[in-house]
Amino acid sequence: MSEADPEITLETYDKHQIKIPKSIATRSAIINMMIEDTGDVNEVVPLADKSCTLNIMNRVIEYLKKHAEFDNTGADDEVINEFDKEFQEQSDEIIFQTILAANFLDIKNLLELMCKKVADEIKKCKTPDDIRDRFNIRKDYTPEEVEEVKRAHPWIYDKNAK
Amino acid sequence: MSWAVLRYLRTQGVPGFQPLPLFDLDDEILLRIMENMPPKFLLRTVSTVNRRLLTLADDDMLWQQKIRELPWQLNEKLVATWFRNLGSNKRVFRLLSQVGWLHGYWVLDNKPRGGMLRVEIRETDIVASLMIPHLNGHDPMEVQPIRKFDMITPFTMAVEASGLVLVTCGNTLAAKDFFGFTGSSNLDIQARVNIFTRGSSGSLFCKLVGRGDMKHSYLCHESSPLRQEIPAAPKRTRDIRRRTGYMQDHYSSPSYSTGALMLCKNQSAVPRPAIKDPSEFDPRELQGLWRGAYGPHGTELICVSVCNLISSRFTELVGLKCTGDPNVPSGELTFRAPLNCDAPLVSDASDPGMLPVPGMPNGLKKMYHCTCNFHCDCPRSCRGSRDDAIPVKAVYDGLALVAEHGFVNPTWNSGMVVVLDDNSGDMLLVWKGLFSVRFQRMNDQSWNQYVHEHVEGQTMPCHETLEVAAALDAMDIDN
Repeated sequence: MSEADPEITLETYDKHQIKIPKSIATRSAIINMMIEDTGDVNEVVPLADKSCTLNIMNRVIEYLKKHAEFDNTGADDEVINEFDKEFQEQSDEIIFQTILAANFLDIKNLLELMCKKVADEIKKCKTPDDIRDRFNIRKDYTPEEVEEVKRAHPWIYDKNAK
Repeated sequence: MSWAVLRYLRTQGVPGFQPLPLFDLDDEILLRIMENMPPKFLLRTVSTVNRRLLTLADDDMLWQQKIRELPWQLNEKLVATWFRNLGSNKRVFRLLSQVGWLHGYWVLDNKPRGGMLRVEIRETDIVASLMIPHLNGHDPMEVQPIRKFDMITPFTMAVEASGLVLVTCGNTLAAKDFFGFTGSSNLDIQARVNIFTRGSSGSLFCKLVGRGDMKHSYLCHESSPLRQEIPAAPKRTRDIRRRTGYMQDHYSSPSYSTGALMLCKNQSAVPRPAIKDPSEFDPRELQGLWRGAYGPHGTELICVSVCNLISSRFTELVGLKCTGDPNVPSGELTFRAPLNCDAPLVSDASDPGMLPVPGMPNGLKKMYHCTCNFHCDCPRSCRGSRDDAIPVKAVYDGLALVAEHGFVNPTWNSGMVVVLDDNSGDMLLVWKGLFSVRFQRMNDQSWNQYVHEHVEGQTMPCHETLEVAAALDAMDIDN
């Protein structure tokens, strides 16, 4: 590795070590801050959030590397979108962990991407009951309360409302 | 895998199919997720899932973002004032989604002169001003402000009481004279807006049927059989034809109307013109309203857009007449220039005179030389001998329409759109060998200037329109 771009060692939550170039690592605002704090690129950066397991971090790094490459080559939007779309297609558990990791590491576009994915998943549900089933949410409304909510915002149920 | 099976697996806790523990996420992340949902879904479905989601779906920042995402742009000050009056961004959003779409420029469909209407949503009222070309003499434009009506009281009341905004206006004020909304509700966002003004005779003055808006780049004529965006009941289409038929009979051109072509298939489907080099001039910069003096016909307004015409396979730069003249009436195209065609254009019966264009991106030519034999608006320096060509930003080869009085024998003449390279930002439309018209961009300032210059002490001068009005008056207009 060239001197301008030394390797950083990250320690995942499950105590694995990953080496990545500094230019990639600093795409995470948190890691960037931690490196600047110590001022020593040889020091191991521990990732304290329990979402940052080896498996998830490998995915996050894949995303960062790919996007660094896109930025450097000035890739078409189409290519980027295709990669992003493929990246989104994961099991719920991985999506969820990736959101937590992206949030912890402060990687804005990854967080945005995964939130979009969850929003799409929610949008697939047609009724509130579907959403509750899909995401295992307890219903804490009584029927009276639902009526009250509807009364408070009658225009929501106006059929012409956009 | 079917939904039922999936649900079964999830509820049974089969590994790999556990439900996404959505509620383990922080509020902040949930809000980010909600930012990606359409407002209607958020309100109707998500907010009734449970209390936490209901609270989150009321978040002011969330709605602030939804307001920013609205397709029309309104100024911040207006949003701030409405926020003060209404108390929450959710309500501001509601109001904006109802009236915001009015904001902008509208095309009047009274042939042949046409006209433009500008609706401006301000902090306390909606102001509509109307521009109708003068028919007699050379004074090109008459500008009449339609009255204003006060909006602040009705809407605060209405929003608190029922959530519906203009319903109150419609019932209590004379606003019904201006805004008659079709559809079951008084407010139907998809609906046409009819603008009624009542002259001294009490007759219907004009009827607004289409929207010419640079932002939406979506121009249409209700009478067009090709109309797709908002399917209207067949009966209504016939009715409207009958109404606009009056002038069409006088300015008839059997089965030939370029305006009918003027329907973008779908704004999102319009491909980007092929510009390899980012330093090239982007023809989309030309989109919007322009005004130019068509010789003896006076000033006319055109709306320029980059779109796919229904009849054409290519992305074209087109100019639609928002106001017309007795030769080429409003609602017709005045020019079209294919931007990137990989094959020569084929001329067909419906497009007489369509010229083949070489298979290369249009707009690469950078020199212009005047060839006008009649009326000429070209810069002085490019007239004269062949050597006097001047450098310009871009020249788009295409076709420009000419017709005899009454829109008889409309013919596509070879034409050019020239983007001048001076500080004016003007554009030149050239009918090769005939004449040229210089266009200036229409902006709020020039519109206000027109209103200011023409508004005082004028009466409605548009006799022809009043005749139409008389004809319309006999019919049922309250659809």
